[in-house]
Amino acid sequence: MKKIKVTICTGTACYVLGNSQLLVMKDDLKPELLKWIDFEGSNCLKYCKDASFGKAPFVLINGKLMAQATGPKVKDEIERLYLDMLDGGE
Amino acid sequence: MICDNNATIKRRELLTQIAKLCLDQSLQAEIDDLPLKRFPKNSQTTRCCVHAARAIVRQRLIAMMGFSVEQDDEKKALSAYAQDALKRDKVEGTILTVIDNGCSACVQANYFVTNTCRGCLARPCSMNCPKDAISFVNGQALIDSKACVNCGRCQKVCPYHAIVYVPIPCEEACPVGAIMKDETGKEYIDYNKCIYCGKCSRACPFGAIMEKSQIIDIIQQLKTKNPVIAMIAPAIIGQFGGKLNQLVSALLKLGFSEVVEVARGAEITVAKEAEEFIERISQGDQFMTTSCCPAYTEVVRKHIPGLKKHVSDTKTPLHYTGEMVRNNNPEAITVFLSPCFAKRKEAIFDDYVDFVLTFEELGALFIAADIDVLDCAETPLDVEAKISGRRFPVVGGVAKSVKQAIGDRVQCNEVIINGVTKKELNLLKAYARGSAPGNLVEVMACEGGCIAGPGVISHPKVSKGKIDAMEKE
Ligand code: FES
Repeated sequence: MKKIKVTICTGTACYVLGNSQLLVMKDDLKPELLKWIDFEGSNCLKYCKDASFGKAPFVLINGKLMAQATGPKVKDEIERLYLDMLDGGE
Repeated sequence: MICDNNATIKRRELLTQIAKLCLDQSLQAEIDDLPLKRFPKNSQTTRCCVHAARAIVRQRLIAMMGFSVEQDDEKKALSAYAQDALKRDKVEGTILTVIDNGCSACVQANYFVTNTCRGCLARPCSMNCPKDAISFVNGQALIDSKACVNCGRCQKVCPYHAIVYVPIPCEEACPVGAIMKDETGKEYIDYNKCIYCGKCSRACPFGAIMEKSQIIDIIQQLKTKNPVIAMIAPAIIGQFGGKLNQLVSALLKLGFSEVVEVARGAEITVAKEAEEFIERISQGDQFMTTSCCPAYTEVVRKHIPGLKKHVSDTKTPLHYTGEMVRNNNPEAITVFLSPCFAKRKEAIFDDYVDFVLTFEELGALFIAADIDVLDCAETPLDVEAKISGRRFPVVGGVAKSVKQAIGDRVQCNEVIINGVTKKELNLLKAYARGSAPGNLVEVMACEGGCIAGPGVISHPKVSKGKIDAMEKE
């Protein structure tokens, strides 16, 4: 199985509008799930410069953009992908 | 404070908008349209209608421009407020203000009878009510909120668990009972009691308690040729991601002429407080408390005057830093970058500090000016503070530094008061009677220390991690 890649934008706009809180998300994920996730921070992804992408804060999950990201929304998506992965086998 | 709710995000967005208008010199021309732009016709709102939502945005903007909503003249246009804001030297009056249109006037009494009430024959609720506050209407119990004293007996005795406790979040958060309802059910703040800790403002789910911002005044200063000096609280270390030296560049880009760490003033506080401690204890004093937290010193002044003689006379890190900056540059305009609301009060009484900007406001200002901290190069500070000062904002940090400075000259046993709630208030009252469980008492009004202040952006865990990492360097 390939790991799920979660890119948290920590550019100033995203950071101030909520992503600062996502940096502690790891602490409340189950260890067996955590094993399958690659968290990385990122400089401004430039989505905040163009309103058509929606509103900050932004997170990329396996390359898919999430606008107005929150802890629960990100967690939900991660869990969905994880279950899909388990279903799909190796 | 912790950005885990919509009220926080909305506040930051609005702050960003106002900062942007001010930077673009279009505050007066465009601010009247802002409520309408936030809530155009047919937009969704948590309030009863767009007009109510706009009225609240209007009041928020008044607070963000530094005026008290309590004195609002509804006929006065936002642009007229903007004009006044751009003309004045300083924000006047109280630190906080209540957005009365925003206050939802939560429950009158904390106990409420739900629909599961069967109106039973036993009626233990009314039998046990000491104030005869319970009557029966349409076969169900009804609590008269005027008579109810919130004792909670009715809830305990109801066999159907039909009575619930409904908190009033701001009142619950206030450690000193300074916020309460007026005749109409809206909250107001009693400034004879308020310690400016800001807990109410972060607890209110409607974001109805706001601080009066100085952001406009500071932006105006940054536009002038005056030397405007940023005095950064050590809690800033964990705030924006990236390195401290990148943040320095970002501040210079905003227009500050110099950046000075308040942790350097903290080093002076440590040295003086250690000497003071040795002197006091040698003279037979039972204990001494720290004095750097302004919300705590307000607690003593307004609620526990008996503790006053135990509070250190040493000045705060902010004071010493301001003094240092002014001595070097008598013309300097000094701006304290702060995690704290109470520091605004301290600054009013300290001539060395001209303005206070919270981290949250600074964040909005960065976004408005399109400055990204992570994209900035590194600029070294002229003088770097030592860890003895940088650890001040993490709970236990002040005591640790002072204890280290005392060394083995006298025995020092520290006691840490981690956050002032109603419970700690009682502890402190007990200490005031003459003895504490140790002889050096550190008091932080915010649980976790200044890194958990009402004006911060980062999760306190993140900030603590960054400062702890410096301990090891
Ligand atoms: S700061 Fe995140 S996209 Fe620009």
